[in-house]
Amino acid sequence: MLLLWLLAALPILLIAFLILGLGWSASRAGPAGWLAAAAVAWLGFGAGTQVLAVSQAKAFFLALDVLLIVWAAYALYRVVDEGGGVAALAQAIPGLTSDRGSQALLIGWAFASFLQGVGGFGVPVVVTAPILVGLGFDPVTAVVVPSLGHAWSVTFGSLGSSFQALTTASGLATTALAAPSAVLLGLLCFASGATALLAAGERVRPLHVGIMGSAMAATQVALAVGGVWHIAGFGGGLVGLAVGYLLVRRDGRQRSGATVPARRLALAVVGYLLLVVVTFTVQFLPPLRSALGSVVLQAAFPAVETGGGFVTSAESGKALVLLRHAGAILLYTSALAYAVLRLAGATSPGALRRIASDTGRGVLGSSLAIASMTGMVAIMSHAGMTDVLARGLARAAGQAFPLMAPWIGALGAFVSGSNTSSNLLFGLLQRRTAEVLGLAAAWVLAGQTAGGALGSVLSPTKVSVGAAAASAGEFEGRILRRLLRYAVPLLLILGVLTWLSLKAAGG
Amino acid sequence: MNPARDRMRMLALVLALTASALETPALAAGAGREVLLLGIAAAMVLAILFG
Repeated sequence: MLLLWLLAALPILLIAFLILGLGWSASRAGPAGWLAAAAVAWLGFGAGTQVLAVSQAKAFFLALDVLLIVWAAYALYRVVDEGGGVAALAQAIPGLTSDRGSQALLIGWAFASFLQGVGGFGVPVVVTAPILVGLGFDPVTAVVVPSLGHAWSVTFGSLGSSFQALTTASGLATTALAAPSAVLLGLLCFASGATALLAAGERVRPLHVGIMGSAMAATQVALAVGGVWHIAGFGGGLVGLAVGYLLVRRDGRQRSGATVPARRLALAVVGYLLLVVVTFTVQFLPPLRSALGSVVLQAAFPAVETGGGFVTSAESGKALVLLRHAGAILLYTSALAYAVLRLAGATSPGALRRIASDTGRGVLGSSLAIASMTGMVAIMSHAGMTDVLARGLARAAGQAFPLMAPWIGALGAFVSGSNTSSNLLFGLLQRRTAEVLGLAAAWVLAGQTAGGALGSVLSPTKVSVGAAAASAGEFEGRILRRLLRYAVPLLLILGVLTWLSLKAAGG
Repeated sequence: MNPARDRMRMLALVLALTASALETPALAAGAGREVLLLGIAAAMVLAILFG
């Protein structure tokens, strides 16, 4: 039995070994995992070509569902960046306060969370760490503070791509997953603020953390539960910035220095304001919502059975409502934002070509990782490998499994460097294990993604990128050790919170 | 940044997505699914080599 479990786990173990042991990127290790999964499914689990073909046909729809958001989110970030938006914000925010603790909260927590909400892809630490160094933080602290500060915003950040991956991989509806995920991540939000302060060498400020954390967490929960989950992380970060600004204004410890013209600041945020307008228009204007719902991509798939007798029933695949998809909304916003910036003279010649080519290059690696891992997970699911893994986990952990859920999510993200990849890898496994144990899968999956969010900031890839941005390349080991000092207790707490939530939910 | 490597990675991605997209009509037609599976596998090998 253990041998069969290890065989089923082989593709995941291989990916972990290739990334952690050999230093491969997720875009190379993911395809290796796909090949291993296909070989094990075929030779070890009796999955014939019909089973593999059905799994890959379904995987296409699942991968596209996630890729549309990843591509469009990156394009919007590049449009705003091309118009000088990120640089304007990075110049304006440090001038707001001279107090070190407030700098950690405003830049390392709220601004980093806002950047995660709209961009992700390592941008929060890359942008904020050099700012903190410029304000006198040592390079290691300058990386650790925003890494912890934005962890809570990762799942609903990148305009919701990790959350989309969780729903896609697990097969649970966004409406079922939004509230548990947003609540657990909301609790992590307070911890992110408190640990950002502690990492900065400051004492925890309950009033500041309480007010800013409540504003950010409540906004994220409200937007996620309200059906506009792709702007939940962005909204939380934006409100956190506004509330943080009011708090530091009240403290009255502004720094002297160059100010950013109001017009430039307005242009910096115009893309994100348009995102809010477009999102709410599409969501809450029934005629438009109905018109955009007319193009649906979906297919029906036959039942398949492996040589070992594992049956996957006939079913309709993932339905993609193309013109109303979160990715489409982001594309409309990108086009509008580009038009506004161009009319305002904020773009330079060749901007459109640069945006297109940078977006193509920027998303290539993550797209390969997402496409291969989605295909791999579909193979494992249809071959019965996920079922074997879930039953083994359920037998080993029993009712204590919820305590493990965040650790599994964190492991996936630590290995792959991505909450999205972790959710794709383990979303279905966590759901099946929860179902075997008779637990409410939505809360277990919330534990998965909260752990994945925290694990992603610990990943060697993200630590390296952050360290390079802060010119602290030789301190990667120290950065990781300091991050672990806070992350390990937080993961333990997340496990307990997942377990308690399940008890409270009666699952 | 290596344009040749990026082109190969792009080829791997397009090949993987196209072959898996075509599996749906291949299943309906009852032909071609093995070739498409080989296409996806080839895309994965390309991605490993150039990823």
